[in-house]
Amino acid sequence: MLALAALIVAATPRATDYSRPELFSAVRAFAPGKPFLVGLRFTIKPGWHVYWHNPGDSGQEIRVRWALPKGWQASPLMWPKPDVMLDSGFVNYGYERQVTVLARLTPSAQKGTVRANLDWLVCDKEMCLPGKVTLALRIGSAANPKAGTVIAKALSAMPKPFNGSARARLDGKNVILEITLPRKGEVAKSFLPFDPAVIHNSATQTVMINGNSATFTLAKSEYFDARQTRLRGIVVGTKLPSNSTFFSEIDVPLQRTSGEKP
Amino acid sequence: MKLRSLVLVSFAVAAVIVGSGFRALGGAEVGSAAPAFSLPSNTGATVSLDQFKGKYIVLEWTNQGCPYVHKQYGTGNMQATQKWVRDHGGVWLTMDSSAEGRQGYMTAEKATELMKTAQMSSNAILLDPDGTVGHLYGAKCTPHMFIIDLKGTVIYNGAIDDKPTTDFDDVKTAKNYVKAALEEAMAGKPVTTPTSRPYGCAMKYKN
Repeated sequence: MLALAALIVAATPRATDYSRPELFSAVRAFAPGKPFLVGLRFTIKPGWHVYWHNPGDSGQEIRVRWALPKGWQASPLMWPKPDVMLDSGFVNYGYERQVTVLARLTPSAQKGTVRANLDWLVCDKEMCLPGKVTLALRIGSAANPKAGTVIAKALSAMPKPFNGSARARLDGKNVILEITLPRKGEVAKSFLPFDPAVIHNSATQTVMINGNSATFTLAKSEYFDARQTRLRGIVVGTKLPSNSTFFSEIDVPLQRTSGEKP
Repeated sequence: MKLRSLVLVSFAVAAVIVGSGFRALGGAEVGSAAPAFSLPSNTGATVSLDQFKGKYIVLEWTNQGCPYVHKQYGTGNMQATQKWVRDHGGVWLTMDSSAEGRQGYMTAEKATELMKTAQMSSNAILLDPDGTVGHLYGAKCTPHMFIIDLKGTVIYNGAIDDKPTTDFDDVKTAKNYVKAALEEAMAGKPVTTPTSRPYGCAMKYKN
């Protein structure tokens, strides 16, 4: 059996043939306690994709385990808005061509090398390949000249924080999300869930709109994780009359109605 | 493919209802009767779910080209779980819903060969190239597991285990949800984890 598995692995192309990861930092010197951004960029072959924090009905998100100098800390990853990919009624959230995720590192006085142990999955319509590499970055020593641009571009691609009011509650088989958008003429269209097991990824979403308020009725995930205490995700909307699309990031408590099991 | 979007304007309440999404809810829900089906097997026989009534039945959606399936078969974990279920009087049906021309599609001959080379203990591999039964159950990825109890009720829908990775090493420390659910059900206890998020490769359904 193991021999068979080895044969399969040997015959399989590698994830790095289709998705090349690079680590960027623009800082030339670091000060203890002063956070800075690092960017993890994937360059992806056409027809292939990597996955968002919530990969959707299948797939696997980009995972980073940091190995940092003593006393350093890393924030959770920051993700740009994903593309919505459909196959046979099922959904995936991910990225094609190129994506940069960011993390904020807070250094201590300790010098050293930042290492990112990466696990990810790259797929096309048929095949999936798991990737596993470690990237290293020595902070301060001659920063990559492209790094400033890469990180600034990644930062501007992040969904904007939601400026209106929002609340979410569990209601039987649904999650109800009520939002009021900050400006007239802004119309909410859909919600992309950041966590994979809160709302049903591929179910029809119903949105009732009244002026710039919207009430989303979202089917609860059939794999609902009872430990979830927040609803996080991206509201996708349209601005009238220009019809331009906007993305706002929401992170609100997921309230239980009385009698609802936690 | 475009996102299906529905806009209804009701002037009476000055509200707009927008439905945006992809598919209706459905699938095999825990606590409900397992949807009936019959499919051709690798031996050419037609296999119906109802012929196993009164036994525990495990359904395993598979795609031999998927690295998450490799992890389970390369470590021998899936075969060991199959054997355990069979040894405990249960039935194991391995389901192939890959469409012809897509990854994981198997002819009856190829499925029989796989049963032998991978040393599987499944009762049969069922061939569902139209994806009818896959959609009926709401199979989302490979592997995706379902358990049906003695009365024909779905008692588990989810992942094979709690380690959503392709690392072979993770199998050693993973909690096997299928075995755990069956151990509890066979002991007359409620299933502690009746659902878990399945992880794996996207289904290769007929488009």
